[in-house]
Amino acid sequence: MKSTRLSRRSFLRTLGAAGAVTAAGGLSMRPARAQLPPSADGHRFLIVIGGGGGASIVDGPLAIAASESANAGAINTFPDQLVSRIGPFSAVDMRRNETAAIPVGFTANQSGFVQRHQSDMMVTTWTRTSVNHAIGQRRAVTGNEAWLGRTLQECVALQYGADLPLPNVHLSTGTGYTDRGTDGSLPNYCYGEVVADPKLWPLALDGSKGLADPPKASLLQKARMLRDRTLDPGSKFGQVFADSQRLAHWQAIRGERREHIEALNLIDKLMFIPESGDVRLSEYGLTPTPEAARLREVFPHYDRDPLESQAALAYLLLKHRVSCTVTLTPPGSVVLLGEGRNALGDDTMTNPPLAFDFSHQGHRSTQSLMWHRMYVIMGGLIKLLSEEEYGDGQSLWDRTMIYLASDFGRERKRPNGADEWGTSHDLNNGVLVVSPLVNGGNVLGGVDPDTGMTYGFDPRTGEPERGRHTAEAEVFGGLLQALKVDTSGSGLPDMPSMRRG
Amino acid sequence: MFPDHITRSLLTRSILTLCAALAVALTGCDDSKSEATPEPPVTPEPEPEPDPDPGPELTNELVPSRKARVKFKGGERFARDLAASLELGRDAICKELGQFDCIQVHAIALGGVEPYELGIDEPLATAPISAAIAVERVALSACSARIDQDLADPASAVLVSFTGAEPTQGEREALAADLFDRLLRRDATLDEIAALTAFYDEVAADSDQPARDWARLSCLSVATMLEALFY
Repeated sequence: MKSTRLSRRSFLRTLGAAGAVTAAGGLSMRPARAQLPPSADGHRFLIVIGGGGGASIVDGPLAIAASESANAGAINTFPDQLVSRIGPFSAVDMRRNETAAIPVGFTANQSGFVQRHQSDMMVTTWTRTSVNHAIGQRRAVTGNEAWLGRTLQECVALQYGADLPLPNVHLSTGTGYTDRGTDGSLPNYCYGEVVADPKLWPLALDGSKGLADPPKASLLQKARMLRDRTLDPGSKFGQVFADSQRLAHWQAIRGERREHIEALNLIDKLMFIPESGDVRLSEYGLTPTPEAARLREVFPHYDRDPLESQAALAYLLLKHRVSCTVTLTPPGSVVLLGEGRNALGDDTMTNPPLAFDFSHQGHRSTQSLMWHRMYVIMGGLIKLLSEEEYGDGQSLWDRTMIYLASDFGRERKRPNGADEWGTSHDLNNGVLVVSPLVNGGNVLGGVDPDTGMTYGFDPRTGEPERGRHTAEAEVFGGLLQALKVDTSGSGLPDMPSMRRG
Repeated sequence: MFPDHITRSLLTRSILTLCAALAVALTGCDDSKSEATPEPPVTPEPEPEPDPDPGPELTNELVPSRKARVKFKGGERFARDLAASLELGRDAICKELGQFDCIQVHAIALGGVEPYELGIDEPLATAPISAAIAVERVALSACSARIDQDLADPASAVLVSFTGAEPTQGEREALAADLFDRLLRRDATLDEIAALTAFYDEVAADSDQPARDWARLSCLSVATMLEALFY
């Protein structure tokens, strides 16, 4: 394992050094948040992947083979030869020449991931409360406002993020998975930092590095001090609007928080695009992160697939202890990875339009492809995180949870025996969580093979209970408890069956 | 000769003028009379009761806004203002890695929207931390471009035209005033001019190119004042 990680100790050392430098220049650097103690037990990390459009659990780990169902032709079941049984889970492998009505093919392989990671996989069935995309997405991360409207990400940031520069980073935008929670009382650092373009975003982490011929950092700092301590406070504008919360927020983010980030040289640590003929980083005093080559091996299409570039940056944010939670979502637009004349050829469909929601047009192909895609991204992240030591012989992966959130489920009916058909939204579904922190290798609840509908489980034992529906708040609470987030006083239900024993 | 309504108007005005003149004449004749008939003694007015709530005393001090509602200018407007103030082309103010327009790269952080690919159809409610840094990058890049062009071609300089390697006190004051005039569209106060001119000594102590660095960093500090970013 590599030892280049930024441990808490080295992080504090870096801060100390930066403080010494600024103090020598007569400046003050007191990152207030660094004074807060990190969690005594170290960090836990949460990766939320938004299954935008509805990741149907019966098209992934709870897929039903036709021979298992009394209504095989009328509900969403698969030909037996496509379904593998791996422990309690299913996996569907298939190849198609079309994606719904689009004449571009793909190959989907779910079995490889499930075989490798089944011991860390936990499926929890649940019944949702909305089939509206935005509302379903939001409730997937708030448990239907189960704890003052806080999101899972905000809860994790509150628990583990006090000593991190950007605890909660949203690598995708514009979905309910990245909406801000409604509890406005949390410290500012808990709310998500939005990243619109993971490849170039690191440039926004330093005020001058990467610009042509920047001034010395010490001089730039003096100019900032002149502005912040003399010009702004002395101006009429600054005095008249001194009570503006918006101005106060701006002054906070351009002050200590910016100093904190620049001192960590994140612009270099997080820059994963390579030096090339098109992008000459070295001309601008930049160097790609040492992990860049490895990242591009694992996510080779980062330059054209937004989800791969999100995943690459997600790994770096966790590795360098910039963040304790990151949120990714596949794009809503089509991604084809063919070259030249083969752009529309075999196996080039990587992301259908609307992601999982293209199931309206073609359920079978969309769900198969998207589940495969989720597994590829999750597998890449697990591989990278497993290679990195957190401390005391534990890898980063040992302390990480990947939650494949979903808007809702999809309709189970299909025209009799149809090989491709469209589906609408459905409240009934389940979620996949992959993590060494959860009760892995288990399906909590179950699926009725004759209806395709899932049923719940006993929160204490995990025993399936037909007729019981798992609520959003229960899953929300169970995930936080598995992450060892302090939920005392929250009123959330205790869900011991979701935690690793 | 005139229409009736104008004739009536002129007549009325003449009568009023005559009455006024008569009143003045009579008042003028009054002096001798006042001596002959002394006025009755004037009883002094009682002192008014002090107002229990006199309200805020009027002073020259600024009154803070109670609501303090200010808005962020946004990336695109900031860029256009900066370009106009520094007489640079909009495309010339800042390129990330020499090729990507900075405002586009940092568009969402700077309050932009992108509904089609990113699904962001409203500006972010709260500025992310990258916003403040992006603003500095844009301003520093634009200020450097302006100063470097001026120093390379003094004959057509816009902002900086120093007569020697080191700006004189007068040149420092002139540049300070010009920066406020251009970037904030107002006169600099004496304190502001003094602060910027004094800043030269700080820069000179730590720079190989003090005139250049002082000019561009002064520009940066004014261009990123709250007043330049919010309204």
